[in-house]
Amino acid sequence: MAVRKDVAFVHDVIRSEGIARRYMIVNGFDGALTVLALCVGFLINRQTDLDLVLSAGISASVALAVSGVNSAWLSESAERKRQLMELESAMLRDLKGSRHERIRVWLVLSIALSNGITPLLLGLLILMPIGLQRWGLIHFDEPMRASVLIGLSLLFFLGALTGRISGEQWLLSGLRALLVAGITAILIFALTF
Amino acid sequence: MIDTNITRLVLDVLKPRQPGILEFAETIASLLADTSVEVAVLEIDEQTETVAVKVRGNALDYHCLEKGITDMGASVHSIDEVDVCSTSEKD
Repeated sequence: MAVRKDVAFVHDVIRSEGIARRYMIVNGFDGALTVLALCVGFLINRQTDLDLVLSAGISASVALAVSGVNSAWLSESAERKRQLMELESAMLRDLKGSRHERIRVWLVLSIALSNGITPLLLGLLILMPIGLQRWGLIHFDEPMRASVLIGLSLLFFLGALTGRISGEQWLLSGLRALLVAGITAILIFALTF
Repeated sequence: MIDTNITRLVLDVLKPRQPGILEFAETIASLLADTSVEVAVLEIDEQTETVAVKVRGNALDYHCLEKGITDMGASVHSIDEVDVCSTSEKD
């Protein structure tokens, strides 16, 4: 019963603050853009070794996931500790053993995991056509182009999502995200070709 | 032999803004069987709320209520009203 209430409380706090959603979008965008940029870079330089593309893409996704968990863990645990101390000062009591103290670790862990898992999932989603082709499960004529297409769709979706949250036009926000991807591709082309 | 039971309590409680009063009242009601709980917000600050908690029941256990309230990060400032009834035990 107490655990169920603690879990519900963690869920309420995360939902009311919208913090996990924010982290998921920010780090998801980072992950999707990084893996998309890798695919674009390989495509521009006519790299056709799928093993190399997969290895680089998965490594980048894993690194972003670990970095996401670590950075959110460090910043959130410090922030939550400060919030608890402020609440203790407002309540004029020590909150040790209370639900607020108990859920702190769960709260930080949930936020850190959502921050880390999103870039990993989006990265793997982008790499899916290359992986499926490599392992002979589905045949794509142009697996790299299919990956780039998935990457652009995901970026558009994330952009549209931020537009919807902020009450802006989702189409414009989605196109703005695609513009960022376009600028990235131009920079990669200019620096590597 | 006369036995006494607390049947109504009015508590002045300082609580954090979270949990909200819905969950706060539900949690208090879930502590003891056959109780009714009323929570009224008296004052709202940036991080805290002062609430009046009215609990009615046949035999209220104050310490159990206080423990549940404390577990939610709140603290009982005072017991403002109390109703106690006495019953003679039938041997």
